[in-house]
Order: sequence, then C-alpha cells, then structure tokens
Amino acid sequence: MSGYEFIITTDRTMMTNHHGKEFLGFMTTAPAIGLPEMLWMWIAAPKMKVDKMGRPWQAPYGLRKVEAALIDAGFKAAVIDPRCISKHLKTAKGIFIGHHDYFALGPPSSEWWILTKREPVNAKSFKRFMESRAMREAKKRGVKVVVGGPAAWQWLWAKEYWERWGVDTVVEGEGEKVAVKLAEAICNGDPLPKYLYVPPSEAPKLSEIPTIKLPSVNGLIEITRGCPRGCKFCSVTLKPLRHYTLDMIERELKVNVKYGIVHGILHSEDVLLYGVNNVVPKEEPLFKLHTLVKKYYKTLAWSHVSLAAVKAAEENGRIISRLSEIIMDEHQDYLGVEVGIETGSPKLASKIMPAKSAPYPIEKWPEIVKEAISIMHENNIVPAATLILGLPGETEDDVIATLELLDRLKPYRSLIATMFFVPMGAFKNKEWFKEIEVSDLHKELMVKAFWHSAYWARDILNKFYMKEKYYLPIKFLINIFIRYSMRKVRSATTR
Amino acid sequence: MKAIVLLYKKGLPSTEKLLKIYQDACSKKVGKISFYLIGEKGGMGYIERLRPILLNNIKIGVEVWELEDLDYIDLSEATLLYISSKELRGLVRRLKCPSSIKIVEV
Repeated sequence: MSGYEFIITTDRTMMTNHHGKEFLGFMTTAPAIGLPEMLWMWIAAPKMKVDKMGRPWQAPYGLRKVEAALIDAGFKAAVIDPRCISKHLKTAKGIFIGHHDYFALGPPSSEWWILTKREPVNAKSFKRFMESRAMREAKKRGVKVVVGGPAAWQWLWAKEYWERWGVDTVVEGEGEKVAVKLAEAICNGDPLPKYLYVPPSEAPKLSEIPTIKLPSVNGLIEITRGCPRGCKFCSVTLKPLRHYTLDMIERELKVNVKYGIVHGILHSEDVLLYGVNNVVPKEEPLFKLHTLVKKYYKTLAWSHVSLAAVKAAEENGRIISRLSEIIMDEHQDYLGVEVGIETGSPKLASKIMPAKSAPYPIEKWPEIVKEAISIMHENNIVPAATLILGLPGETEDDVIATLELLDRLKPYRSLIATMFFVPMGAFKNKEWFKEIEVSDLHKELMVKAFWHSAYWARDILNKFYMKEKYYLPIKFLINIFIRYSMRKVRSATTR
Repeated sequence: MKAIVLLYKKGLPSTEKLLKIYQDACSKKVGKISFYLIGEKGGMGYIERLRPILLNNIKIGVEVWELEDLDYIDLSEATLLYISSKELRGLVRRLKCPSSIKIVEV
C-alpha cells in the first residue's frame, strides 16, 4: 500500500459530521457541561467512518478544497482522518492542517471560556492531536507542517505552541492557490515562510476555485464567497464577492450524492444574495439554485442569511414563501439557518454594521429583525441568532435596547445565543478568560436569551429535530443537558 | 510590486519602528511586504513584535521568513528594500541588488 505525499487533516472535533446534525457541532466549542467529557464528545464529535487508507467518509469542506487544489496540481494528496496519519508517514512530505478554532479563542468558544473558566473540548482535542505520537513521529521524519483556515490568526497568540510543535508555516487567507505553491516548495526542498497572508487581491478567481472531489461534512457546499455588507467585526467582508455557477454547484452536489449524502447545507454569508451584486435578493437565481439542490438533496439548510435580505425577499414577490414551497416537501418540514442580530440598538448598529440593514435604513434595525424573524417563523425557518455583547462603544442604553428587542422576539421560534466581543489585546494574558468582566446588564441579557432559547429548543426538539428512531439516545442526552442548564441558570439567578 | 524588509534576529527593531516601515511601504502602494529575519533558526520572539502588523493588515500580502543566509531572498518584483542596521549594508552588497530597488535605511 503506497501512501500519500500530502496529508490534509484536522482534529476529531472537526473531522466529524456531528451525527448528521451540524447544529450539534456547536457543542465542540464548549467544555463538557453536566455530562462526562467522553459522552459529550460522543454527542458532539462522533468518530468519522474511514476507509483502509484512513480517508474519512466526510471531511470539512475547506480541507476538501485544499485536497482538490493539490490533486488538480498533480500531487498525491488526500484528506486523512487524524487517527490514521501514521499510515502515510513513510511517504508524507507535508501535513496541511485546517481548523475554525484551534485554541478556542473565537466565538462562541471564547464565551464558554469566560462563563465556565474551563477550556472547551475543541482546543483540548486539537492539542491532543498535535501532541499525538503520529504527529511527533512526523516531525522527527522532517515532514513539513502547514496550518491555515479561518482561525489561522490564533497562532499569533500561540507562539509557544507554534515553536513546540514545529509548525513550519501559518497561512492566513484563501488557501487553494497558496497550498499548491507551498507543496511545490516542500517538494523542491525550498525554505518555507513562517507566516503568509494571502491578500484579497490574490484570492482565487471563480475559475481558479476547484470543486471538491470527495464528500464534505453534512453535504455542505459553498455557493458564494465574500460578502458586500462590510460589518466591522467580520473579516469575510474583505473577500471579493464570487458566486459559484450552477454547474459548479451541481458538480459538488453529485460528489456528495455519489457517496450517499442526501442532506446538505448551502454555504454563503448570505444565501439570499446568491446571484446578485447588491443587497436585494432576486427570485430567478434563488429559484434555480434551490430547484437544482432539491433535485439532489432530500433536505437542505442554509448556513447564513441576513435578516434584511429575508425581509427584502419577502417584500419582493414573496420570495421566502415561494422558496419554502420549493424546499418543504415529504422529506423536509423545517429549515435551519444562522443569522446575526448582534444588537437591538440602531445607534450601535450604525457604528459597527451600517450596511447590515440595507436596503433599509439602519435606524429601522429592530423592526427589520422582528419582521424578518416573524417571516421565518411563518415559513418554518428556524434561525439560530447571535447577539454580540461588549462591542467597542457599547453603552447601557444599547444593551437595554437589545433587551427590549428580545421581548419583541418572544413569540417567534428561534434560538438566540449571546457572544462576547473579546478585544484582541486580551489574549496577551494567558488567563484572559478570567479577566473579562460581565456586567449585570449583560448577565440579564444572557439570562433572557437563555430562557428564550431553552423554551424554543424544546419546541424544536419535539416538533422538528431528530425525528428518526436512531437519534433517540442523543435526543435523550440533549434533553438532560437542557434540563441541567435550566436548573443551573434558575439556581444562579434566584440566589 | 513588493517591499523587502531585512532584519537581524538579534537586535530586532521595536514594534513602533516596524509599524513605521510597514506604513511607509503601504504608502508607496506595494502589494506585498516580505520580512526576512536573518539568524539562527529557533526563537520566535519576533512574532510578538510583528503581531500588530500581522493582525491589522488587510489589503496587502505579508510574508515572514526566517533564514540563516541570504540565498533564498526573492528579489523579484521588489521595488523597496528596508534595512534596519548598518551591519546589513554588507549583506545588501552580497545580495547583488539591482539598481531598480530603492534602499531605505531605517
């Protein structure tokens, strides 16, 4: 059996399909709560099925892109499960690692650190992987280690691990083109840069983005890269906007279906802006896209939509209701999606995300949020919404405005998660999570969001989620977790 | 167009000085800035000094190289070369810089 010269991998919390329920993946960003860690990991990150070569059945989409780019460039490369890399050490020249939260410094992991003062399981699992015998052996053999992905910035705060684990290169930015250059340098024995930032001007053009060759976790496929809204707290907005063609999308759908994956997620910063270069959804590209996807997938979810686009779409020819008619059928009776509320204060919103409400004025932000979430409720679209606490310039009035908005959202099926804005400078201190202070008003907001989510989580679990019999044990454990959390929050707030 | 910054690992300039270099290069509209750290391998204290640049940079490409000698310095497309100390002048001579590259001592 001959091995691969380039291994693309990550740790267990990423190389998993979370039992086919992407939302369970959020549990990997927290420490085990109310359950033993082994059980927590079993729910959040079950081990992936692999073949004889250690190739996982499904792998994170970003890793699949790097794999495709390297294969297209003529390298013998494959995504390999972290438990199986030792099978390829005799032939390996480079190990490429991706992650969305290496050291649990990004949201929502950072929030869990702050609240529990305990390290989330994703960071623990990644450290275990990097300290594993196989990784140590790889370094001994002179295999080059390249790390990248959306959490690459975290290495700048983890210099000691960078040195200890002998990471050769940290890559920040879109990886497809640069991965090929680095692989060439490794094969030629040329030195590698310690750090590399790929600017937006060097990001791959649409024609340079390869399509995946093997299945992605939970059938996730990208439909658009970049975002036009320019929010200050988000880096995606720096990327040029590129919409995949329907032909590219179909190729990726076929790959997933070929390997038995018939439930999928459409990935974009704003699915409803597919096919447009402004912020007003258009029915033709959306209907074509969803009709195509439903030809292959029994069920689909959206990764993200903006609330302004939901409202604009419904007002512009009832696009949401009509999309629902395409999506909902005998296989599917709800659709999940992440949305960003971030704040209920128009004043703060105008400072940090002035274009988030477009095509509507930012002064109308709370109304837009309420209307969009009610439209989603009527169409069985379940939003998992985020609120950001502690944004620069936030005042008590801003937090009160968000509390008031939460009251108005009560009747609508939604999960609302609060996240802390952690300024970068905080990471200078190794125990940064002990230093962040949570104000009483923030606590009140967190408790309100918790009760809102706990109420609707049970409704969602009962009506929509995990209906199949084989989910019963997981559902049972999730119910234990919800009840445990409710008891904890109740006792903490009545003390 | 790119800018090259040659630095000795021993006697690294302060973050403020590095930021000035970076800002100067940005003002000259370079598309990339490459920091070459010359010295023995190991010891990554320079990351802390460079961190404010690396975290706040958005538009231009940035590379950081750790090299024991000058053989691998890529001068192609370079229009600016920043050197941080007099000791590096000798190194510049060895690099055989084309005259099209403007040398800036900082």
